[in-house]
Amino acid sequence: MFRLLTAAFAAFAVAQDPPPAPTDWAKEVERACSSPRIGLRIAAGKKIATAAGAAIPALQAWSKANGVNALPVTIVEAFADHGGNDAAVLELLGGWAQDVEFYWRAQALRGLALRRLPQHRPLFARSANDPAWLFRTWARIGLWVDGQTLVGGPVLDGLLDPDPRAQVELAAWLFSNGEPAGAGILMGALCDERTFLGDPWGRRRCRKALTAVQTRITGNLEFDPDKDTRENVESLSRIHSWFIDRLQTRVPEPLPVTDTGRAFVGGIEIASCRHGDLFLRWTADGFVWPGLEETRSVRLRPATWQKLWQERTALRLAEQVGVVVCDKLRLRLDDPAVHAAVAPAALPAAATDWLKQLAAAIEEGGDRDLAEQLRTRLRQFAAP
Amino acid sequence: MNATTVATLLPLLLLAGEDPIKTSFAVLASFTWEEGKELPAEVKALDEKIVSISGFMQREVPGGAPVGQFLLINDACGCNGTPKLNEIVFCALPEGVTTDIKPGVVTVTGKLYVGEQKEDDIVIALYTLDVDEVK
Repeated sequence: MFRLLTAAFAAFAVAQDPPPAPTDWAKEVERACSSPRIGLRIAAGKKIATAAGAAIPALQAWSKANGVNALPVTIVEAFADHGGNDAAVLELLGGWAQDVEFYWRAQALRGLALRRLPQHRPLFARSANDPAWLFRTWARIGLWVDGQTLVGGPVLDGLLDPDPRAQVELAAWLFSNGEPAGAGILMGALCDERTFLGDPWGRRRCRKALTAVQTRITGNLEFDPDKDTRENVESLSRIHSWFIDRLQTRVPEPLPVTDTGRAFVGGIEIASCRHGDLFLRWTADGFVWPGLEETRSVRLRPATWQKLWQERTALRLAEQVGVVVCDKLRLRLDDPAVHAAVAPAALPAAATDWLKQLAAAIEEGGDRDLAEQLRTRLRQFAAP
Repeated sequence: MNATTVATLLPLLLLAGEDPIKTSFAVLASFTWEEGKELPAEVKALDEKIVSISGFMQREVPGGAPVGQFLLINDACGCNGTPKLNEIVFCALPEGVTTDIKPGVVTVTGKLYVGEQKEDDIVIALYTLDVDEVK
């Protein structure tokens, strides 16, 4: 009998699957952060985020050993999208979002904004005017309450943001979630053909607006974002009518929004999650135009500009200077032909000095605030 | 020139004469991709065709050295987050050839391959491109 029971137990034991080996989270974190394939990083990041509390200590250990800015954006997005509401996850996202040096703080804040938890509203409220446009946009989205009528306040103010990218990001999100307050912005963005130093940023606004419009207007809009406004005129006309008929809202006529044709001979674009982005272009006759849009300019003193112009070879840089991960300074010059991307703490001394002199010239030209904005960002990019 | 050489060169000569099909991310990213889902006909039609497509060069992993492979994406600013897999063209230069990552918009020409590629049973690419030229 004993033998029979033993044999039966043994057979039973063999039939059972062995217990799964515990996941080696350190290995998974390494894979999520260091795999050379972005697809593998995304998959491992999702696995870690789904495990939430169990994997977070390994992630924090990796971050401590390698630096928080070595974390790829994919893992922050994974926690934002798949991490759930575990207290450890909320603490992790909150810590990332409030670390002003962290490259992916906007993605972390997005994770909190999408969760719509009341305890994060103070964070959203004090972040609604952050210098980084995507960060303040997610703060405003976090403050929006479904079904709330927008009458004043930071969300509505966001639709008047000085950065046209922030306007369309917020308008698109609101529209996709049933709030038509930014419909006019979307209509304008669909016609946006503007560029900055060769970068077609207006077309990106157009695609963002198109994606939002497609969430509400069903059927094939026959709108081709690769084509300009004139070539899309019939489709734009239908969208315009839909806005007016269905939403009873005023939107601008679909007219092309284009560059002015002003002859810029150089400029810089500073993308800084820390300080916010800064855009400057200049013309050969010594006018500096700040911002993506050509709404105002600063006239430099002719003698000062002449000297700067003569010394512009200081801006002759290689195509890539330093290791760009997120924040970067892009510089473009016609003569000599320069198109460079520079990482933080990598801008050579000669170019830094030239740009500092430009800041001084801007201040001399009467715009102390703009000069200070440039100086602040140069401190991030100047090589030590 | 022997027959073997002709046979080897002929396809290359034919390829050299083929006008690239101009495509864009508006086409490649025009749908919501899910693993295993059939791709739109207009996207599948580009498989193994010589195409030209404009976008921004990005490294698959951070670094500073010239690269033999790069991602072509639609958005210059990584701040907007990770592109979806159908918003990335994985570009490979010929064996031994490298390039710097250029700032600004580039146009890449080469043979496009369309379809899910897996590693460790995970989809790692939808679009790969053997690069002939980066301008």
